[in-house]
Amino acid sequence: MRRVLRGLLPAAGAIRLLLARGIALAAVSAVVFKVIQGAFVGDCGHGACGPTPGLLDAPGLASATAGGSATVIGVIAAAAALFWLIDQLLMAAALQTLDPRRTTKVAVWRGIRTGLTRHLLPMMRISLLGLVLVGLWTAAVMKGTEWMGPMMAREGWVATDRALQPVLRAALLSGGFAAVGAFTFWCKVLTVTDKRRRVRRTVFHAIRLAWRRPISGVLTSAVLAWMATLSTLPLTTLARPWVADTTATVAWAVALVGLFVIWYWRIHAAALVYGDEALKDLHGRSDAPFGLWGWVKGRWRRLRGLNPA
Amino acid sequence: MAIGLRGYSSSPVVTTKLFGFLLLITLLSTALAFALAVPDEALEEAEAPGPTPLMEDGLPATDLRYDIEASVEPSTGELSGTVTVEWTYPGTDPLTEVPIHLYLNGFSNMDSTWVAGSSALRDFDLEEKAETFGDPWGHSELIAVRQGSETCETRFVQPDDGNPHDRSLAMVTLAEPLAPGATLKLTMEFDAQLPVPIARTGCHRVRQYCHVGQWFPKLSVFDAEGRSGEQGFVAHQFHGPTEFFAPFADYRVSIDIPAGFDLVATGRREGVKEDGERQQVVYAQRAVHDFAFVVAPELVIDESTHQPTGGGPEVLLTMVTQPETPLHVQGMRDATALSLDVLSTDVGPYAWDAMTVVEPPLAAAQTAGMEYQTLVTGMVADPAADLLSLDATGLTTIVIFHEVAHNWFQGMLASDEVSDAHLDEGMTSYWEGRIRQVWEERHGKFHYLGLTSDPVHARRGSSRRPQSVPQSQLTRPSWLLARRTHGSQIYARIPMLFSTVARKYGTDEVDTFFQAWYARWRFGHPRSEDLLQMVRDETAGPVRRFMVQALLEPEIPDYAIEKASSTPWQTPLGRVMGEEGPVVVTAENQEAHTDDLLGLAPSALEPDGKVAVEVRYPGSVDDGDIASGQVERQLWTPTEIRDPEETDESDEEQADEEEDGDKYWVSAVRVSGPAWEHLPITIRFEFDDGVVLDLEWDARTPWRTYRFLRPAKLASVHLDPELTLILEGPVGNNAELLTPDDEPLRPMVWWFTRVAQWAMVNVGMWL
Repeated sequence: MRRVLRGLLPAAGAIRLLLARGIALAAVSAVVFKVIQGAFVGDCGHGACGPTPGLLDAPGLASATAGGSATVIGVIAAAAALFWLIDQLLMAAALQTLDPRRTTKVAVWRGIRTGLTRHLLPMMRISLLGLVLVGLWTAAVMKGTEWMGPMMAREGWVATDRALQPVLRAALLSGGFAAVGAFTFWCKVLTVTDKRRRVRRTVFHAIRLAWRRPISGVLTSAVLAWMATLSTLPLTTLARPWVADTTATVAWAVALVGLFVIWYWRIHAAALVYGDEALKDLHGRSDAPFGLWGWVKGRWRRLRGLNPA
Repeated sequence: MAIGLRGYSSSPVVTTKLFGFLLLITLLSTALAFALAVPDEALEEAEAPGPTPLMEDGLPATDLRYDIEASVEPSTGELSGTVTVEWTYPGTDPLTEVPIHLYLNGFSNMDSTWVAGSSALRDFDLEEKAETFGDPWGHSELIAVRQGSETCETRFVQPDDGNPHDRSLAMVTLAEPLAPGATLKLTMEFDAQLPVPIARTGCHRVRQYCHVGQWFPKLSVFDAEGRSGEQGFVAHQFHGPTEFFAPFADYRVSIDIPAGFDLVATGRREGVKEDGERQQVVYAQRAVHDFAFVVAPELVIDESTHQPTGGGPEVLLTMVTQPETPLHVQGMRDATALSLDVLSTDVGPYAWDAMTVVEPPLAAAQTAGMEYQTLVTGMVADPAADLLSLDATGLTTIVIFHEVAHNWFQGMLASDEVSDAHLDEGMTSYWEGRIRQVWEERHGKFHYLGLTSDPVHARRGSSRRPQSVPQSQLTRPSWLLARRTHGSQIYARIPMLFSTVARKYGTDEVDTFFQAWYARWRFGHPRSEDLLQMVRDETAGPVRRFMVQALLEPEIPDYAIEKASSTPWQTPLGRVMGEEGPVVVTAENQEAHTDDLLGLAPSALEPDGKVAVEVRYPGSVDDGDIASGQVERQLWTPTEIRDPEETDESDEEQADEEEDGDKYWVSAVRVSGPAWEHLPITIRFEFDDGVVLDLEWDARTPWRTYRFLRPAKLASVHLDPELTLILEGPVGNNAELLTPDDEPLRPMVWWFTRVAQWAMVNVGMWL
């Protein structure tokens, strides 16, 4: 765990990395702001919310967001997808810059370029695998807790007791998602630091690492992701969107700084943990394909008599 | 006509036009008033009976008496009993058959008329209920029907839709025909099963909470005056989108329930008899048209008395909530008392001496918000709502306002909810808003997380659907209204109509109308025709014309700003007359001549401070009267001149304005409306120099254009700026700001940007 805590300390390149991420976020946010503003103004800014728009009025708020909501949801989704891509590149750059085993300095910009040309595709495939796992886990949790709703209705539970089902689901889902997130994170760490290309082999490699470093490796990553997301969720949901609230804006700015620190901490800690001499045997393991596909193809050709043994 | 009365110039040309216009309008108004005095075909019907006389107890004598002995088992929902009916037949021909409602059969299968019709109104999944509860169904069977000592034949009938799966209406063939004026004594033994709570009635068998409504074999209303076409019963099946219709009767009901259970019911309790593991609770009430009760192992019951401020008997208030929410009682009592006060004062006294309000548990949420005389249900009582402080939203309180108000509209004024549902739900919704207004004046506005809600806006919001499905407010029967229009057609239009009358002509107009409606129809069965007749009898002038049209027109009126623009004025190209003779203006010298104001109309200089406007409107044809369209040039004194510096403007906007300072602007606005005979509207024009002009539009033509040539740009146009016209379509097209104002939207844009940022910085942490 010492290495995890050391991850909090600023390393060479840390400021540049955080700055790059900050600039990217500011740029995408500015576009998001403009598009959302355009959608809302188009919907309501011409007075369409009525002669006395007064957004403190619930139906007025509803009409203000009615037309814009589809645009807003689309914009948020698109922004999240775009920033996710940027984040992959920044993560690749960070892992190269912060790798304690490196003897030469890697500039952030070079790291981003390498990330784009070498690591992005495997990282995307890892995320795709993560998405599949998240989908499977969601289906399993929903199906597994489905019986609770009818049971509660049948037994006549009050709403506070019926909250058990959504609370349980939320706990199971967020726990599962955090585990998947930590797993995909480590797959990406291995991919970048060992310059790996084969996701199939990396997956097993990550499992091996999780076995060796369950707390400082996987659990720490999961907890940090969980902490970052859930601790800041109330700031976005509980703040009243229709009121100009300086406190909420300041709190959000502070939270953003916190989120950036966690992002850096998580990557730096992972680089330090994986750079441990004790894990030397894991470094640079084979990245060759399993040959499963070739074996299947061979079997198929043999079955069809195209390539008799 | 309001037009021309404010700030009009004394220019002779304009005066002549005004005089002509006023004359035309006067003639049209006279013709209209004359036309309205002639009865419509829609009104031709049998003469309505006079007001129902009352007895010493303030209630009418009834010709029907129910004596019911019933037994209910809350753990299974089983219900059985004997109903003895004594009815003095008011008809003129011998009667051979009597229709009996068995409403619980509406819940007996997926193909019943009630279930089939419910999808037009509400979303529920009976298959899911069947999966959850095993046997959620309800039913009611007539075991034996006897007239005196002779057994009568019964058969199920489906007069409305011929649905063979529907058994909600039975026809009893009398053993002996009933002579006019004779008294029928009918004894009906029945065996029933209460459904799980699906809608308005039901029993949660594990919690053993039963809300027992529409549970006993019930006689239909007999229309002795033949007001619905011919003398006879008004008997309909049980329809999904609508409710009930029943005759006033005196009830005495003995209910057998497990010992230790609590029970509240319609009317007042007469006694309880303990009998080992069972108890018999007796309730009685005169002159009501339904009887319901609630039984559960444990209820929080609070009794107090209240004297409504508008007169009538002292009322026993019984507030009933669940053991988990005992603190609700005070709020329930306050809401009930205020409802009784407002309605008794502004409409007419509450006739009965009991009012019970029940908050059901979440397990029986589907029985919430239901009305019976002297017993209503409020919102669900659940600790989660208290945890989230949902009482601040007023939801629970507002439901009580609504359901108590039903004791007037359909309780005492017992309209047919199956055919004319707007009469009870619409009027009730209007009074719910009025009671709410008084409550909010005393306790502050209902709110949640800083948001408040204006019921008038909410009604307008729900009125969008009828815009696309034209059907008159009085369209009958309610259960056959176009799909998904029931809510707006039944609940929204009537309150929108009365709110408009109140805002345009004063609340007294509305109160006077309702007092007359109450006096005429209390303990009667008013119909839509009666509403129209009452409007014609009790209102006059513009109120009458507006209300009649609002009730008959198939569409909700909608005003709109079709176009609004403001462009810099330029000297016209070509040969233009200047002070020293004609000048040829070309593209090359146009700007210079524009700066010299060559060709600018003198009125644009506004030497006496009056604003010139060119008004253009088309002709109209109404009942063969052909009126010509016109172009009028009018001069108006500004309604108000605001200080332009008061407005929050950015430096950029101020710089633009300074640059535009010496320009003249051509502003054009086109508005459209429903072309009703009497629905004038105010149009407010606001200019960048602070000039505000309120112009009245009689709106008898479908459109009108306004053109201004002024030294300031048009900033905004608002239709009905004081929000007096509530019976109107979407408000989204009622205002146009020529320069968009994003200031009020900015906090929300920031918030959504924060949400986007949250998603952006976090998504990479998880995938």
